[in-house]
This record gives sequence, C-alpha cells and structure tokens, in this order.
Amino acid sequence: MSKKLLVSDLSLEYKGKKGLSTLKNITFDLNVEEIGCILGPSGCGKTSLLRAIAGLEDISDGRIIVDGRCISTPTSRVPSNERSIGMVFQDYALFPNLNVEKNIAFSFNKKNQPDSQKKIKELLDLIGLSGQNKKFPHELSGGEQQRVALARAIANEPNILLLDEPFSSIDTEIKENLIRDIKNLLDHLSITTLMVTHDQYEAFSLADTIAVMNEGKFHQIGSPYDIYHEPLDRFVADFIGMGTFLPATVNSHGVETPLGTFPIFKKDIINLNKNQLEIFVRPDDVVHNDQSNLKAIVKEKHFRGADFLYHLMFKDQYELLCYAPSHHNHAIGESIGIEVHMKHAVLFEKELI
Amino acid sequence: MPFNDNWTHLTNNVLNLYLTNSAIIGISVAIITLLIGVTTAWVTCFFNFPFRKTLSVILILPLAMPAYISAITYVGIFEDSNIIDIRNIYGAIFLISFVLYPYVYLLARSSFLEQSKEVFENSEMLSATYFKIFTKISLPLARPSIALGVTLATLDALADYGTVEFLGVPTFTTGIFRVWFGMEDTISAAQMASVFLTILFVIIIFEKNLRSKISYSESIKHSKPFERIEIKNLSKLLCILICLIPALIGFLIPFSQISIWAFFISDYGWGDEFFKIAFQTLALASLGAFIIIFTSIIISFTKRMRPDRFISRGTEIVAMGYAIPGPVIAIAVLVPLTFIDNSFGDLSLYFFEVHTGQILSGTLFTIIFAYAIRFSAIGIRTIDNGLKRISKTVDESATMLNITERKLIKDVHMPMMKSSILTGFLIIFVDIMKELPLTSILRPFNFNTLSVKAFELASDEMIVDASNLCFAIVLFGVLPVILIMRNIYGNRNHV
Repeated sequence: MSKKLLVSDLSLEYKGKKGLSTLKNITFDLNVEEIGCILGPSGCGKTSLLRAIAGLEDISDGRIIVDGRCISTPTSRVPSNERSIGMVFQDYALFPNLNVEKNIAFSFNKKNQPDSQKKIKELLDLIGLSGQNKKFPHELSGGEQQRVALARAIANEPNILLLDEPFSSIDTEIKENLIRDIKNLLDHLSITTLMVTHDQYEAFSLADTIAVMNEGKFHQIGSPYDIYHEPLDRFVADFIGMGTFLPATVNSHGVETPLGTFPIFKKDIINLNKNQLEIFVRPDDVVHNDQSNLKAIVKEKHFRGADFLYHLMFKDQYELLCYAPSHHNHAIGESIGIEVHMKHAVLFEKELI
Repeated sequence: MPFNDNWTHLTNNVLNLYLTNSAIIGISVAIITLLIGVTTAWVTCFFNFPFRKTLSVILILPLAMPAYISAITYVGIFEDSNIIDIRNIYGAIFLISFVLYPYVYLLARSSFLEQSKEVFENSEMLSATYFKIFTKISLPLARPSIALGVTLATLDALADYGTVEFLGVPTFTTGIFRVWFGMEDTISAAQMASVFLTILFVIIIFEKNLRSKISYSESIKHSKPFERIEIKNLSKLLCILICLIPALIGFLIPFSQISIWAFFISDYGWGDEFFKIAFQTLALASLGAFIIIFTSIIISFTKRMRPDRFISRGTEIVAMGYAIPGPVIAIAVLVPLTFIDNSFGDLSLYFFEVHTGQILSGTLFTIIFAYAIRFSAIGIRTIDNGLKRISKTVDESATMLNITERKLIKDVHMPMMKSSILTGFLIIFVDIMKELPLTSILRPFNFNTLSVKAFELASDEMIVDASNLCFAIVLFGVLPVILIMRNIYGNRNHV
C-alpha cells in the first residue's frame, strides 16, 4: 500500500525556549484513505503535531512527507496554502460574516472550480445541509457548523484532511449520532484523514489506526482493538479504559497469577524481570456468573443503565473490576461468582514505589 | 545639552512649585476619583433603589465635559460671589476630579458586574455580611480594573493644561508653556519636558507592575444577574444622592449653565464666525481622526498578520503618547521640525538664494503629526480589540484554503471591523475637537478651533460669550459617551 503521509523523527520546540520540546522524535505514517487518530490527554502536544503537518508550526528536527514530497524540514517548509491539506479547526473557524454558501466557496475561483454553483450544491447535499446555504454560522447548531467547516476543508479536494478535536464542543447526547455521520462521510469521501482527540471513544469509533501520545511522545501505535487489549505500557493501559494490576510470575507453564495460569502473550517477555511482574486485568476479562465457584466480594458498585460496574475484592487482597448485566443487582459486601476469560496475559514490570 | 541660567533660576525658584502643585493635583485627583468612582459603582451594582438605571447612565456623562470648560463655567457662576473662590489649586482638584471619576466608575462597575453570581450566593450561604462580601471579595477582585481607572484619571489630570491655566494654578504643564513662550527658552522647556516624561514613565511602569502582580483570572461569565440588595427608604435616598451629586457637579450643572448662557444671554450668538470656526474644527478633527485611524489600521493589521517583537514593543511606546501633556508633545514636534525647516531654508538660501520659510512647522502637517502622537494609542487599542474578536484560526483556515491576505482582509476582517473602526474614529474625532494646548500652540496661522477660541474668549473675561462654543464642544463630546453607553448597556440584559 502506498504511503500518503510520512512523519519521521519529528521534534518540535516551544517557541523561544530552546531545549524544551513539545514533540520528541515522532514517527508514523498513514496509508492512502486511512483514518488515523492521535489520542492523548490535553497538553500532550497532539495539536502541535497537527499544526506542524498543516504547516502552521516550524519543526526543529525530522521531516514531514506527503505523497513522496517533503513539505517540512527544520530548514524549509512549504507554505500551508501550497500543501493541499484541508483542516477543520477545533472552533471551526468559519468566517462569521459570510453565509454557509460563501464560507464553502470562499476559496473558489474560475481555475479551481469552473462550475462553483454545482460544487456548492454537491457539498451541501453531502453534508445534509441543502437549502440552508443562505444561513449564517451563528444561525447553525454546533454540529451543523462542524459540517460546514468540513465541507469547506474538502471543497478543493485536498490530499489530506486534518481534524482538530472535532467533537470537543458538541453535546454528549448528540455526539454519538454525529460521529456516525462523520464516519460515513469520511468513508464515502475516501480521503486520508488525521484527527486529534482526547476522547478514546471518538478515536475508537472513527479511526483505523490510533497513536497514543503523552508528553510529546508516542507510546503506542495500533488498531483500536490492539490499543485496548494489548497496551504496550502502563500509560496506555491506564489512559485507555479501566483495569487493575495483580501480581504475576512467569514459569514454564505460562503466567501464574492469583486468578490462575495464562499463556504468555508478549514476545518481549524476556526483557521483563521475571520475579517482579504484574498482570493487567480489564473489567471485560472478568465475567460475572452466579454459578461459578470462584467468588469475590462486592466493595463498590456503579449503576450505568445497561450494566453495573462492580469493584470486587478477590481473596481479600486483589482488586478486580467487572461489568455485569443490569439485572444482576448485588449488594455491597455480597460474595458473587466470577469467571476469568482472558485470552492472553498483559504483563508489566512491577512499579517500584 | 548644558543647563543655562534660566534652568538655574527655574530650579531655584519655580520648579519646586510646579512639581509640588502637579504632585498635589495628581495625588488628590487619584484619591477623589477613587472614592467617587468606587462608591458610585458599588451603589449602582449592588443595591436596589429608584432611578438606579437612569442614574447609572447619567453618572457617565461628565466624560463629555472637558475639565477646562467645567472650570470656565464654574468661574462664571461664582464670579460675583465673594463666598466661594475656585481660582486656586483646591478648585482645580475639585473640578478635575468631578469630570474624571467616570474612568474609575466605568472600570470598577464592569468588573463588579463580571463577578459571578455564584460567588455572592456562596458567600451569602456562608452568612457573610454584605459589607464583608464587598470588602473581602468584590473589591479585591476589581482591584486591577480600579487601578487602571485611577491611573487613567491621574495621567489625564497631570496632562491637564486648560483648567490649571484658567484657574491660575502653576503646574508643570503650564510651566513648560510659560518657559517656552514667556521666556522664549526652548532648551529649558525641553529639559522640563524630559523630567516630566521620566515621572510619567515611572507611573506607567508602576501601574503596569501593580496590575500584572494582581491579575486575577477572569471570572466565569454569569448568565443571570445576581439579586440586588433591598434597602430601607432612607438608604435609598442616600443612594440616589450618592449617584446624583457627582453627575450634577460634573455635568448637569455646568451644561445647564452653558446652555442658558448660549441660548439666552450670550452676545456672541450663532453667527458667521461661530460657523466658520465650527467648520474649521470639524474639518481638522475629521482629517486628523481619519489619518490616525488609517495608520492605526495599518499598524494593528501588521501586528496581527506579521507578528514581530519590534512592532509590538513599538506600539507599546506609541501607546504612552496618550499620557503625555500637550505642551510636551508640542516641543517634541516643533523642535525637530523647525530644525529641518531651518536647515532646508539655509541650504536653499545658500544654493538657490530662495527663502523657503516654514515648510513643515506651522502647517496642518505639524498639528496632525502631534495629534497622531497623542491619539494613536486610542486608534490602535480600538482596532486591536476589534481584531481580537476574530479568532486567529480564521486567519489560519484562510491560509490553508489558499486565500490571499488581501481577500481575507477585504472580505472577512474589514466587514467585521466596521464598528470598531467607526468607534475609534469617533473617539479620536471628539478628542481632537476638545484638545486645547496642542491645538493652540501648533495650529496654522489664522486657523481657529472651538476649543482654542472658547478658551481665548474666557481668558479675556468673556465667559458668557464663550458659551456658544463650549456648548458645541460638549454636545459633540456626548457622542462617544453614547457609544460607550451602548456598548455597556446594549449587550447586557441586566443593567
């Protein structure tokens, strides 16, 4: 598969503060039509990375290559307007004094859009805002503004589309539907896309590949499934989803833990100190079953509508998390049956406190 | 430049007096405006009493009254009375304070209104008294704004020329003027100006530090107004008086008196001379305001589109021009321009045997150049604030869309900046119209403005005749005040 975007060994320094870098040795790539997502807590540098790709920030090391053409090095940068990159800003950055139609068509001229009216209609149909072309940005809902910004960004068919925290100002109730709409739209457009978010559920629903980032460094790049089930380090394990750590030792049978023995998954297990290990257990690894002989005591319970999240105490000292269907309503202090469904063991070196 | 005999004479005799008077005026005005401004803002923000809304608007009106016109009017009013003599430093302090307190009032008020409802409700639930809430929470939160208001008022008082000159109080500002023209000693005047600038510089830096040290983060904007406190009838009357008295002294009384003189008593009337001067004033003010706002637009846009440390430092220095008294600016402008004129004249005489006379000095160029020094700060600040409302990402997204800067400015920035540009123009227009010392020193020969003529008549003991001109100045001065009111009250559903 051909590479659309290639970022290699990129570093970026804070303006005016040499040596203090926001981004450190970032390397990743996107295939044609792939949707990538940079996921990380706020302030981790993900927006800086996006802006560097857009040509809005200088880089201090490394390079950015699009379609085989180098567009950023520490010494030269192709201007933003010559990169053929579309970007949707976090605040959408619509021109407040222009209506929907003029916003979308603001970059049109005879050369790039010979039939601008037809193109506008196409785009409006695409984003489901036909007939709203005369409305002004302040007359639109947040979701509608977002789609206008998207239409504007893709109007001239850019090589790559960048989305900066696209759903940060959208109400939670309508977010799910909007994410689905945007996912369909991006699939339909078949455009290589890179988005940035702090919300793992947005990343899971939209991205083919996720890069988890913290403090200017990538911790893991992988599919949403892999990121969740096979976190490479403690940060990723902690940041994505929930889970608890239990002591573990490795022997010839596999990984021995209080919950039982499991096959070794990680190939690089050799590097770990074999006596000081911990196994990472997700709530979905622990399945509630009233018939099971394996018991744990309910310490806390959180009602979440369709299910309960139980905090359990196993063998008086090991904490576990467990999702149980909503009608399995157990009292705190009650002993309930659990089964462990673990396909593989995720191991980390014990954290020395 | 060596100090000459005049300087020795000055330092020995009058310089101390000038300095002392200026200092007394500056400090007293700071204290009085602080008291009036904060009290009126507190009362109108936190208590419920009849006519509260009307009074809170009327309280701004003294901004439209130049201090020297207030002085002219009160001298006229008390002329025949032997009881009150305001032709002294106390009169100057009193009159200046009562037209400048709105700076403090406006800034304190907007700061009080921004404070969140939750803070008050929370304090109430913790059963703090209203007085305690005000002194322990509201006042400290508003301190940066209040400090700015007091600084503006103080700087304005120090720069005052007309009032102290008319009331016969020798200060630094009038002193420079006297040394320069009375003693025809440009060097000593320039040296005095430097001393004055140094003091101003210190005040500005001091205030800036004071503000940066205690800059609280902007509190959360509240959607609902907090409940105003219900008070007893006697207290209501007291509140009305607290708000009414400053407005009466600062605006209502002098403006009524000017109107009565102008329409019923004055011999000057609304004749040809009045209209000729009014026309000249409007032409000068429009031209000046146009040029200044035009250069401000260029500077502000350059700052935005090509961020550069040199330019932003430069604008910070330009912004200080507003604090510099007219005579100081006049020296700063005239000395180099005369030098250029003379050098050019000498050259021309030497090579071509032609007398060039004054080419730059004494022309419209000089006076507008001087206005630019004094008022560019207003223009740049207004345009900057307007530009700040347009998100930076708008510019960035235009870049990403391959849109030229010219198109972005023409189709997005300019349409959105219309009201800021108009506001800036209007404020500068009125400021030029009211301006006295710069205009009277630098105006071209045979060129008169309302302010210069009014001051001239009043100084010749024809106060009543000056009233027509004063009336016109105050009337125009009300324009930007209305704009300010609209900005404050138009967008808020809770006045």
